[in-house]
Amino acid sequence: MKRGQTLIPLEGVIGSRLGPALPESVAQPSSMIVTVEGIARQTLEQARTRLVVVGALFGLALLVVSGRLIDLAVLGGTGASNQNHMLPPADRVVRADILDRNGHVLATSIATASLFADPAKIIDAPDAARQLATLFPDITYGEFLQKLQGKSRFTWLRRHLTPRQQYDVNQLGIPGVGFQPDERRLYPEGSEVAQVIGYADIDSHGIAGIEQSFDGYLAKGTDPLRLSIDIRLQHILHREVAAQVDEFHAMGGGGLIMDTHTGEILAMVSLPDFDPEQPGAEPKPAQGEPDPHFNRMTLGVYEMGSIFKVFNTALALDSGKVRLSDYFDAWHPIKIGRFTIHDFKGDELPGYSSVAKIFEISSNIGSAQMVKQVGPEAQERFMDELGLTKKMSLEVPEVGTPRIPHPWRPINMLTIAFGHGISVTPVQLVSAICSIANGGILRPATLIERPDGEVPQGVRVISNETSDTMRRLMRLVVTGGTAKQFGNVPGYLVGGKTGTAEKIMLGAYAKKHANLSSFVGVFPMNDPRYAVFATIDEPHGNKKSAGFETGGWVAAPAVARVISSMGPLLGIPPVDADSPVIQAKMEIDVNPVGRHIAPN
Amino acid sequence: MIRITTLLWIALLVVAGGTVMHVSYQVRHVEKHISDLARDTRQEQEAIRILTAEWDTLNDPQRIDGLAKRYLALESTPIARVVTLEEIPLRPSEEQLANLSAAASAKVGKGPRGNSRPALNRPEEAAKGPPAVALLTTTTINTHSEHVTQAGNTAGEARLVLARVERR
Repeated sequence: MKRGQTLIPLEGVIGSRLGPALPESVAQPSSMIVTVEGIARQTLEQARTRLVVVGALFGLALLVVSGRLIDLAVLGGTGASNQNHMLPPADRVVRADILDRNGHVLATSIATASLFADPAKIIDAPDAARQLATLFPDITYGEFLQKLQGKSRFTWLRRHLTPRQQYDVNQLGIPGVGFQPDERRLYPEGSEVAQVIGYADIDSHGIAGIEQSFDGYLAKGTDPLRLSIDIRLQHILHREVAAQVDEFHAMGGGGLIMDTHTGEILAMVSLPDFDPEQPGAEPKPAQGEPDPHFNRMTLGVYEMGSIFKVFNTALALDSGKVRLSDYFDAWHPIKIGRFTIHDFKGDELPGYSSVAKIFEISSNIGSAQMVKQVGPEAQERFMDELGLTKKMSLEVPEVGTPRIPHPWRPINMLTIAFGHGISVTPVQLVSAICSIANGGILRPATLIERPDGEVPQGVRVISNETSDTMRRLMRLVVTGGTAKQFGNVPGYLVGGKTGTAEKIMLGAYAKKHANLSSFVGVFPMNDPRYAVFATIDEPHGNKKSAGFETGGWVAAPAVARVISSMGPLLGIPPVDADSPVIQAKMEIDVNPVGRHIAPN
Repeated sequence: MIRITTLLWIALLVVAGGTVMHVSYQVRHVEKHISDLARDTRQEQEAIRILTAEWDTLNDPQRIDGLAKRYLALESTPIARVVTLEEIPLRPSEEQLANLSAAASAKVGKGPRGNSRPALNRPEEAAKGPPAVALLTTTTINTHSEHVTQAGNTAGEARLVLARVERR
């Protein structure tokens, strides 16, 4: 061992383990300071550094542990993991309920168990199939056998068992079958609200109506979804529309109840309808038969006929170009091109008639003469403002796009004046009617309950004065006009407008017996709160309606019955139609002194 | 000296070990209790869901309407009989009654309608009979939650709903 010039002393005891590398140090006492150099020294230094690092790490770990102990014991800190013990095991997420505006359940999910099999583990498939077939009469032995002998390692045998059925299957003790927790969607109201709610498939995925449009929200299983629908009104409307469809052997029908101030849809019926728990049960409709899954109120677009005279009259009066005291020629049919506009036989008005008379008797000729004063551009603009030219936004996926003329020529203007040549969805129509009656503010229709007092701003479409006049005119239709036989409900001031449209079939107006007969009623007319709409598709006149198939005879009775049932239910106080206050609010002069406007 | 320290340590170790075991058994016990409670809660919740569905099935207006038409001789209230509370006259005081009967007895013999009952505000209403205040109950539907919770595990009694599930 050589002695160099620079020696760095190494502290610590270096024992004999250094071995033959340090022959001199062996003999020396342990207290001596030993100095080493070269490779040995490097090794020692490395070992020392390692010791220090490991020691420091252990010290740090101990420090952390004791710090945590002090935190828990002395400071009373709580670890995040503590709370996990307090929670029950995570619940299964169940699809959220759908409620009506009063909290009545329209759609709910209940926990069920579904039976599956692993065919590879089945020992005696024919025996198992035979036993299962006795438990489930809706599935045959052959179906079970086929499933149990399949190649896959997993097959559903039957979905959604009740606890009793589950118990029975357990009693069989068949190896290779098992249960999986599942959920089943239930619709306590059956078909009555089916068109609105839609339905969910066997795996609880919404595939129509509200179930589809709110699928993501409902699947999260949080708060229930509250609709604007009132199930009591829904039942009344359903009952009355169905009664009319039956009585007049119609193809179908529909109805709507809307809050005139908020745009909330309180009831919506489309017939025929379906059972949402067995949506595929009925056979596919044949050619020309109505589809039960088709929502006429939101998806169907129809020419609504004379109901459009409400908009036409409001437009004419609000433009300032037509006064209530004006008289028009409602006698001579209008010839334009190869078309002739004429009135229903028996409803013709000889000579000149006032605006009120034209509206009351629902004259096509008079309405067309009136709109001539305004022009097609203003009419198109007004229809646009009323939201009748574009696809509306509503909370269901089934929304139809209106059919409007393009370009908007004078001939279209004349036919649109009495509701032909433009097709809209009934929801759009009723929204627009609400805006005409409620003081002139259009608010979007909705199927979701608006929180209390939260009414959207809305858009003004006509002045308050025009709206007041229109209310008087709509009242006149019920007291003396086309709906006087059935539209009136003593005690409630109902106003409204009838509409009978010839249906378009294969591009041409159809034969007799192919009408869409509708009535929209608004009440109470002195301060409108509800609009009730009913439409009957292809009614066949009978003795009771004296052979008539028009809106006033076919649809108005349903609306009147709905109003007389829903009024007391909603606590609307009846009014005395003969009281002077009401008379002053509703009166209108049918034969005022005014100018005669000649057709040009 | 060394022996005493060692013994002390051993004793401490035994105590510590015993405590840990005791606590761990306690925790296991409590955890079992919690999971039992959670399972019961879930079962109750599922029962409540089924019973709610049953309740709303029973309360379906269509069903109630049908049952009412079948078993009840009642009709819906005519609108003319619905009045507001303000329209119902207050009960006359003793003095007014005395005045009225005095006036009535003075008129006795003049006509068949001379009775001592106080006239109602609106004679035409009086002629139709006493104004019946229509039952304007909004709904009985919202009161079902207590029925449901009382029912507890009786979900098996939800016959209508279970029948619908079985029907597939």
